Amino acid sequence: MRPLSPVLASLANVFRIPITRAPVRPTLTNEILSSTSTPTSPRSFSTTSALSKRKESGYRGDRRILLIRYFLHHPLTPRPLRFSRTRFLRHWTIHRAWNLYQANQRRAHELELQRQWQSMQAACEELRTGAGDGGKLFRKSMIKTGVFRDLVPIEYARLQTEGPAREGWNFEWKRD
Amino acid sequence: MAHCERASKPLLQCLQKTYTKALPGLQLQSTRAFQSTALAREEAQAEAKSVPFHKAPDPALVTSPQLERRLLRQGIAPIGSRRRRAALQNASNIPFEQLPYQCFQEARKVLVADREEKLRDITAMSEKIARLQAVPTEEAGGEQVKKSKLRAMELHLEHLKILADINDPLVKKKFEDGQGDLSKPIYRYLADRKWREYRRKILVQRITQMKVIPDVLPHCDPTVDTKLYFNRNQIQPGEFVNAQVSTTAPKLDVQLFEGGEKLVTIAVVDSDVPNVEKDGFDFKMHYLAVNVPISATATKVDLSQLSTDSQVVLPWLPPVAQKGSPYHRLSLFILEQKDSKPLDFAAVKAKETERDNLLPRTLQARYHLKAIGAHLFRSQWDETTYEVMKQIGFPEADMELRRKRVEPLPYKRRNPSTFR
Amino acid sequence: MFQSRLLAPLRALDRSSRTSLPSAFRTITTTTTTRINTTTLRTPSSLLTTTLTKPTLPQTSFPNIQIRHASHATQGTANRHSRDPAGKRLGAKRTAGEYVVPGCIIFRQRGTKWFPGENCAMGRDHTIYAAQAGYVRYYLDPERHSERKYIGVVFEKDGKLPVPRNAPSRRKLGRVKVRFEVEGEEGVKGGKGDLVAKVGEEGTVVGSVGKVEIQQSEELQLRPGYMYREANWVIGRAAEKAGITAKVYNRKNRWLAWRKRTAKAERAAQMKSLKSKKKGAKKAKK
Repeated sequence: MRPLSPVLASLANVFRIPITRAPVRPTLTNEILSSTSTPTSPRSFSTTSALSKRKESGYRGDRRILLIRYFLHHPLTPRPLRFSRTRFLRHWTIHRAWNLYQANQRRAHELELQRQWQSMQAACEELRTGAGDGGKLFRKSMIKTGVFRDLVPIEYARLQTEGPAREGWNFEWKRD
Repeated sequence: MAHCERASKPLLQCLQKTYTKALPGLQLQSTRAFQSTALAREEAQAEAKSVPFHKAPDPALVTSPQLERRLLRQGIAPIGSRRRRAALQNASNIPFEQLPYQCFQEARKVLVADREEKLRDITAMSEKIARLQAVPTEEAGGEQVKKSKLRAMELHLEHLKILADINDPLVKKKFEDGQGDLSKPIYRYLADRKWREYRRKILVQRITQMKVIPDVLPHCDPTVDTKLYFNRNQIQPGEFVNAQVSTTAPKLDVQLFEGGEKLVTIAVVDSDVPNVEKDGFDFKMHYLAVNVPISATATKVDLSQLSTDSQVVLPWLPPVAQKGSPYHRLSLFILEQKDSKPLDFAAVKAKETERDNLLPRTLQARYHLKAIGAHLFRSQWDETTYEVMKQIGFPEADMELRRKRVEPLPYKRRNPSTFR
Repeated sequence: MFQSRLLAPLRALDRSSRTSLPSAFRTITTTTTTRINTTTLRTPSSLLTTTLTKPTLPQTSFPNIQIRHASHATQGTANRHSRDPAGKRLGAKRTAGEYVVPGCIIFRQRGTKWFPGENCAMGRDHTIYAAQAGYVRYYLDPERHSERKYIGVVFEKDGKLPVPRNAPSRRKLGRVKVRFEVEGEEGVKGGKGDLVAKVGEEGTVVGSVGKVEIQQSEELQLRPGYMYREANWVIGRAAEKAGITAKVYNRKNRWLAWRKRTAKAERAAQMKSLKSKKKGAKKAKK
């Protein structure tokens, strides 16, 4: 097992990352980190390499590229997701099937809502025309004043969700 | 042989297990009735073979150098690396659909069920279309209504056909390997999508930025993929082509993404012929052919091989750019003939004899053409142009175009009273 | 008046006390003594004592007496115009309908207030200039862009802009026909002429070498740099004379390219090490 560089070790210690196994890609990270970030033993407190410390060395390269490379090849970075051809195809199959399943579920839900709405509308229509009172009952039932007012405030009739609302309680609200 | 087998062990795990030459005992269940029957055929071959391996070595499995040499002497090259072949020998040759992964198998069940549902939809839809066609026009609510209804239903049917196959991993794999059968709608759909992702964007950008679109034709929405080859070299849209190279007529690869056959007119126009007297530019038709059949499977069109007595109206004229003239845009247009009906070749040939100033706009209006594909290359003066000019008898080969001096504005002192 | 005179040493005190303590002590002693001698003898003792007690409280400032009264004109920002830079002479240089020739500046601007339209181009500092001779038009082109204002040049005096999007663009050739000598037939046989540059009073003139000059080049002449030597082009042809041929560059020969690259890198490293050695020696001497 390759020992981590002091900086990385201290970092890992701070973030409580257990380092008991060898890093995932030891060879690659070794090469790249040694050129950019890993300090050599005599200057263990400096992160700049010897060349870039000198004043004469002019262009030091793009800092962003350096950082990207550093984090990409960091031993604590998970390795990139690479699939073989068949594995990718299997993955794709599962992905498509899952999407299809979800789409079917959504469609079924939509249809169910549509069915409910239509049956309610049919009932209302029946009430309006078939009740024999000239539609009076229907008109009365369509009056919405006072609905929710004397029971539960309408503000609480939000969709039921997994978590609470973003603002837990509406302190502004007062019964009028 | 032992060492390469040992070495191939890690490879074994990551190698594709799609090797479809199944073990003799393994039975393939063909769940995909509508797909091509390639699997079943291979299975039959595998079962018929009972010769020992060293007598008839398989080029995909052979590992020993002696057998390889024998194969090479027969003229068959072994497939892949020796390490890969060794790995394949030990691989359990399970076909892709039967790979023992639970989630994958569950997913396949969902997809297969969906496909069956789509197939039922397809049969229902085609029956519906047949029923509507049987209904007389008056009952269906008039000519126009029936037509539009039929059109919409056919579009929906096409859409369903694509939906039935789009979730198939083997279709995807075949298309990616370039083995897709373009006579089937699903592969045509995939090819069209791929073309629109990149190549069409490039083409449209080139023809609009180089002003081919308002200059040569007022509008063009490319729907066929056009590739242009000079001497087997593909020319990207807008590339500069050497004069020597373009002396021979190019070859085209016109990929249609719809079913059926189409008759098209192919025209190559130079829109930048300098005209010194007019102080402007002229057009010149470098090639014109009518009644060229293209379809999704027959894509190759060799402009020099088209028949001169029924298709080629104006044969290929090598494009040359005079020295000092700005670059010439040679734009190629694939123009769809109306209802895919053939034009009267003799009449066209009699009418279009003059190459100079034969505008594509005129052609379009005269023969009711619609641009469905475009391509573009450019030519400019280079070291071979002079020889090509001599060959084709270009009249003013030794004349050069120089910039005309524009008289500068006379010096005028502007409003001197305000100067301090 | 009196106050301001007195405040000067106090301010000096304050400044010095802020810097550092020991130096403050030193300055205080000097300043107080000199000031007392030079400025006033009628200094009230109470004020004097404050100055003397100052070093014991080095961090105290004077919030109520550190007010500047405008008894003198202050430096610099007396009038607004010193902060106001000179005008940059931006704006339209040619109005609509005016005749312009190629390169004629039509509009100077900061940023793109106007965009170049037909037959116009934009310079490095967003200056709009004409690319063709014609008449200037200022216009909007909603088909191209909903917001932008364009400057264009039309060829006719009564030309209209914008043109519809599907109309063919109107262009001018702007060239004349001239007969030229074909190099392909006799030029190649004679061999390519060498170019020589003569530096005269009018500037550098580049011409080709005649046959006479080629013969003359055998003997040495007095050349720039006050020496008798061959002409530069003769030196350039030295390898040809000696019959040295270089290998034709082949892009695909990566082996050769690698060898060259490594040799170059080695040389560079060698030079660098030499340089560092020299430097080390210098340092050692010092």
